[in-house]
Amino acid sequence: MRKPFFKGLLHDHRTAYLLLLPFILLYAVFNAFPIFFSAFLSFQAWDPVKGFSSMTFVGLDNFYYAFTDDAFWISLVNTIKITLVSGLCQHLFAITLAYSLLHVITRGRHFLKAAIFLPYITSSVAVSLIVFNLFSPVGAVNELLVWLTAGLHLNALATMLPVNFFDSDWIRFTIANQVTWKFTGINTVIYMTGLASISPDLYEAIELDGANRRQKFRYIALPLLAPFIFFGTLMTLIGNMQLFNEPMILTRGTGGVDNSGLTVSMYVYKTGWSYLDMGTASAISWILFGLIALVSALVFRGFGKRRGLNHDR
Amino acid sequence: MIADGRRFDIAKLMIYLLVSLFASLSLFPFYWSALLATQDTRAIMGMSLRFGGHFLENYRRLEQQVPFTRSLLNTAYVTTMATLLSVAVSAAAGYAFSIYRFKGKSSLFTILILTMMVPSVVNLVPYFFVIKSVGLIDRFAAVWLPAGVNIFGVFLVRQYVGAALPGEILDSARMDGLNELQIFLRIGLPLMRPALLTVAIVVVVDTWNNFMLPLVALQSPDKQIVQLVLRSLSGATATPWNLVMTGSFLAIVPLLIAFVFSSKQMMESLTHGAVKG
Repeated sequence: MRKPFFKGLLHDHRTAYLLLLPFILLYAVFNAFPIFFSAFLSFQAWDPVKGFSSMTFVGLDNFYYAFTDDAFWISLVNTIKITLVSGLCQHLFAITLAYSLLHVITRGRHFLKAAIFLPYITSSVAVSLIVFNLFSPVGAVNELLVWLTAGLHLNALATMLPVNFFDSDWIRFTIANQVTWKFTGINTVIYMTGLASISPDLYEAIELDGANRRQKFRYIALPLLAPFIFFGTLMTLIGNMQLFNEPMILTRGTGGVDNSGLTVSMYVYKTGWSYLDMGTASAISWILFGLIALVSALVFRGFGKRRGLNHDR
Repeated sequence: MIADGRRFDIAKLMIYLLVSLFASLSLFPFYWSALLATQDTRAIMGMSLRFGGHFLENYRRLEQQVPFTRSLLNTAYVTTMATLLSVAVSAAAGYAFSIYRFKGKSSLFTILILTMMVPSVVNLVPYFFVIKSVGLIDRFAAVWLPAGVNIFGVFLVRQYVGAALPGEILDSARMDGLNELQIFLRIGLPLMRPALLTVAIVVVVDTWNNFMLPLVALQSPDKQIVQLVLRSLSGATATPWNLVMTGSFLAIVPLLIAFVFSSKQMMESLTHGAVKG
């Protein structure tokens, strides 16, 4: 019989490796190898239709091509715009909703919370199709706008109707709107967890000092929520910068008029599968990775400084 | 004091209205797709807000245009396989990480954390290369096999086992003559059930809604999953709205039903999954 070690920890390499084997195998094939291969491929020219033998080393050509390509820069600016607008809306809405649901709303709290969360589990593709219908020039949203402008006698606005929500001016708004709709709920639940962890004693203490609801939010909830805001924003930024499904469906795979709805992830797909240039596609995906790393670092620094200041006070 | 109390009530009322507005906007697309799925073309043109009785007819006509039922079954199959694989692989790997010391443990751990930061689109081109090389193009395994790598799941199980499984239990099981695999199967697995449920929920939602990998991997018409069939409807402007909305509604409804019955558990698990442990 094997001798038991202290506290159940065991130097049993065999069993450990056996249990890890399936994971390591799949990880090697679908994660580790792809990362190295993608890095390798970003210095190659490869047309997948012509087979693996068509790979040739091209140095930094792919990166040079990407950086001098107008469509790449457009996709980058689009991605940043959508990320910022939708990210800001998501978190402003989420903090407000979380505070309201936890500290103001008593009846129907669970139902309202669940309703706001529900968009998170829906298929982006299916919702995009619903958005096509709702936001079409003859759709319900335009009908509502016509009705509102007529009712409020806003004749100047009425002449601008119907709005084409899928043209080059509006498509980014339409994408950001759908993304905000989908992710506000999960951010709300994250913030509710954060708010619930704040001790009621703190609220009681500031209440004794005569603070009102807004002051309680401003001086207790908001500062103590900082770590949640930090992680929430970071996750949203990382996620939004990889946006693919919504722009892909809402522009019907084209990127929209003049690439107005093209995101970087979508451009990677188009470069690889429409233009059959897997090398440049890999290079662009690494540029995106670099950008996400940079943004993450900036968020870390920004929050680090702010929190440092708070400690000084 | 009375005036103050009234103002308080108005503020509360405004907040109730605001939150209700957000909840309605969140639910509205579901209502809208359900509404249009039951109407005929004439009712849709007239923008009627009354539910019609044409759902089954719409479904039949949708089925004539695209293999919709087939694609729903395919999606269910892919989701089931992905979930079973992911739960089994994460359970074994997470347990090994928690219970054993082995060579390369800490470096493996660091590498896993690092790879979590790589965006999924970096993997897209090599993923295509891999499935092409091993002959998985147009095979469902191309979609459910990669789901086996769930780093979040491994970390969650590791954390859970570390907290819920005291070393004394393992020691006494060893004294009783159970071998290491028996301990994992009989003591470890039942104990980590809550963690595995969380992993399963995250994987089910991810796989059911997965669009990027199937888009690259599945090409032939009889190997379509529901997201791809829906996408093909978005290009075809000839498809009437009631059919498109029938498809959208049916693609959403399985997870919607699951959510109605276990909203609390699902919200908890998915939030956990979103912040990656």
